[in-house]
Amino acid sequence: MSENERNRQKNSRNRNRWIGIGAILVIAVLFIFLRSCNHDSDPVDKKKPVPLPGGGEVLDGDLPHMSDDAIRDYLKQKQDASMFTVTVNSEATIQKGSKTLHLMVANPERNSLECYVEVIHKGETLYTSPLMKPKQYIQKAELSKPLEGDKNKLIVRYNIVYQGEIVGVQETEIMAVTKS
Amino acid sequence: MRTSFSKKIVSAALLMSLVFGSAVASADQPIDPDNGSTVDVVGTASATTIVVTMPTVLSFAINPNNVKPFTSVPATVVNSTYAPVDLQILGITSASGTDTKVVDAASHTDQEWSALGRSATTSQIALGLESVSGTPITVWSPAEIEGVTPSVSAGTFPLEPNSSEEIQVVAKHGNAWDVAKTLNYKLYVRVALTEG
Repeated sequence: MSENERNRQKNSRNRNRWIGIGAILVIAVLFIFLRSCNHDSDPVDKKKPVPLPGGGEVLDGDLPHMSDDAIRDYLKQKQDASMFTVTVNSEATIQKGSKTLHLMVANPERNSLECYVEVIHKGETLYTSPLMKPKQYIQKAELSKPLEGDKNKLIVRYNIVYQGEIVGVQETEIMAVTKS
Repeated sequence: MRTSFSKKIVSAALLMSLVFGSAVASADQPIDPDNGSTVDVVGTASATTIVVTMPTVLSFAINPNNVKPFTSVPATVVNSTYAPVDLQILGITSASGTDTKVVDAASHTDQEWSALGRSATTSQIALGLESVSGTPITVWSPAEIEGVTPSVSAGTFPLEPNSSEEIQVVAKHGNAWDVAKTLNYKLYVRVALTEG
């Protein structure tokens, strides 16, 4: 056997040895990796207490709700607290050609809310009053234009105000009589 | 003697007053023996003051998880006027911030109302008023029109002089409310002396 042939065989054995060592290392690494992946499902870990899904308190019983009577009481209280009285003379007078309408419109003492009134003729607002507190009234309105004819139906619209917002609208129909 | 004199004085005075009185009457208003006399009767009638009290808030609650989802309570309307008045219902409109708008009650059948889905439930409701006491009357509000104030009577509740009437809200609505809501509406009413 020549020197060259012996060297070739020796090299071949060394290469096979290294391939074998490499294969063993790869298998060992794979084994360690797979073992680390399955760590959470370790039967020993399952014995640990399961953490709570959230905070708070769990109560016994069905969902609570207001009883029908409680709802009715609540609604009744709201309604009764909002009572408002309109007080208007059913007749107003105006001189022919004049724009000063004499009418009596009050925000009576029994009310708790402020209001202002509008005088409306055929859908057109002819007068808007200042804000009236309870126990205040107006006795004349300066219309934006005179009324024609002897008798005119007018609408006195109460705008009931609470905290700067209109919370109710109540109208009263009156008759304006023109005097010559 | 003094008593007798006093009686004579009184009697004379009465007699004179009768004669004098009849003389005045005959001078002012001559009596026609055939037709009698005419007397002018002059009276004055002051205009009636209309005084009506009613709530500005009409409350209701909807619980879609109940067999009867709609709850309202009677509200008292007091007519303190010494004359009959008509309480006219002009309409109900949603206040700003309320997306559930008032629609015509006849826009759906009762079955359709209860079968409305989420979108329709939260956007539509029909509201009206019914009398609790007295003659049963129900007045449904017309559909609201944005920016338009109701001005035409949709129905009337007659109120007797110096009396009270109980009315309450009625509604037709869907039941698919995905979130709890506060619904605010304005009621437009008009009071007028009863015609006729």
